[in-house]
Amino acid sequence: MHPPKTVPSPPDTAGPSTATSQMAQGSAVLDRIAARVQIRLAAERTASNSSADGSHAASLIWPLPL
Amino acid sequence: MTPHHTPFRTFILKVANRCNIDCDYCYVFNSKDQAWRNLPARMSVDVARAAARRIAEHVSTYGLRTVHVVLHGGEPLLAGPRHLADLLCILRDGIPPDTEIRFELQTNGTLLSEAWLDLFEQYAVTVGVSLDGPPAANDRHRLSHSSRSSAASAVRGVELLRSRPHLFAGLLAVVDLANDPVEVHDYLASFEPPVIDFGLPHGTHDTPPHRNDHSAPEYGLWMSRVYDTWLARPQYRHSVRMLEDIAALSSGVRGAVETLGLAPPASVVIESDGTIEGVDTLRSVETGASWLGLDVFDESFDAAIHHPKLLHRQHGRAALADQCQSCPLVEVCGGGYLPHRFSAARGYRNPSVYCADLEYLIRHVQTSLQQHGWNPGTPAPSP
Repeated sequence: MHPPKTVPSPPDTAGPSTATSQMAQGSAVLDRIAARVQIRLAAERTASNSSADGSHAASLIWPLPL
Repeated sequence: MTPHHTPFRTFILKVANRCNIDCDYCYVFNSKDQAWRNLPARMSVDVARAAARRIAEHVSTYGLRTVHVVLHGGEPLLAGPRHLADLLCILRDGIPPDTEIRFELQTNGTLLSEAWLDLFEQYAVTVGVSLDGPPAANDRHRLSHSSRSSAASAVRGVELLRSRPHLFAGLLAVVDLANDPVEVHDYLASFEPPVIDFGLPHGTHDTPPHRNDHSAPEYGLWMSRVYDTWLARPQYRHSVRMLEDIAALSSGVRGAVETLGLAPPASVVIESDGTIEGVDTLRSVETGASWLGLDVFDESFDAAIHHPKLLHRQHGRAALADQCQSCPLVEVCGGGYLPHRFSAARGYRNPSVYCADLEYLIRHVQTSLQQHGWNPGTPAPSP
């Protein structure tokens, strides 16, 4: 699945239920994830070497500055 | 340049091959392969010079603009600040100045001091700390050689690191089903790391990981609760690497941590004596599994890229078990982490011992993404 170009707005929170509130909280985190995923996709598409690579599991290398 | 082979971009230097604590799950010291007993306690300047020369050669061959150099162990701080400063200087001076070097160090945190952080400032070394959760959780496995808790000294190190947040790479935890995932997540998040990651305990089909209920995807359930907790805590800004990688791979990104996805791992290990290994965690599989018979004095890293033991890493889906090749989730799980696929009978052509867990977790994350309006799409094809 592809992240949306514009991340969807959180649902209407007027008269919030617990589920709605949780959905909004989740959206805030997912908005940040979507932004980083889009940066990673763009970086992979523009990389001079088009092959992606997998980083070492036993150390904390991150593919882009946070 | 060989176009069909992925160059190494991450060079993991085992600068110390001893540890001041004794984690019972450690793949270096407490697994089947006891190679560490015959390796130098720390990497010499001669080995570092040879490694730097080989990295420079590799950078030139493949036109790399950025490389990661990870100072790893054992416990890398046991190398001592003066010696590690010498190694960092050799590496920085030995790699062409037009190549960006990103230094990273993975530590248990217990020996961190202001003096260490001053050195890391000088070379822009970011620091990841291994910590499994609150003290009771951490103490299940991460004890000293005299069976004492290492939690207080590790936390002191993390707190020190927080005083220089630009050096803080994050926290790395190993999952234990006996720990509460919400408690572990919230405890680690309270240190405000930029990244948290969780590793699954090493296991193979011959020595499978501990489970309480063999009919349930307990590790998948555990990590799903971490995911739900992460989403429910927007006040924290951290990423959870494994979970974010599942979202990324589900969205067409190809590169991820080597435990997931089909992209070829691009890291190589240089042992303290200069020998070259591909996947150091294979020490958990069997004696000699990670041994290539190469070293930085006599061979280039190209010899490792083309080594028969590592060629399968370039084959993506084709190297997997039949049932993995036809699985709809294979682009995301990548068949699971290499050590976790092993059996003496079939080598690495098995599904992961965590197959059911990964399936549960990936579906959990993907369902959540869909509920939040991410558009379903087709993942990118494997390399």
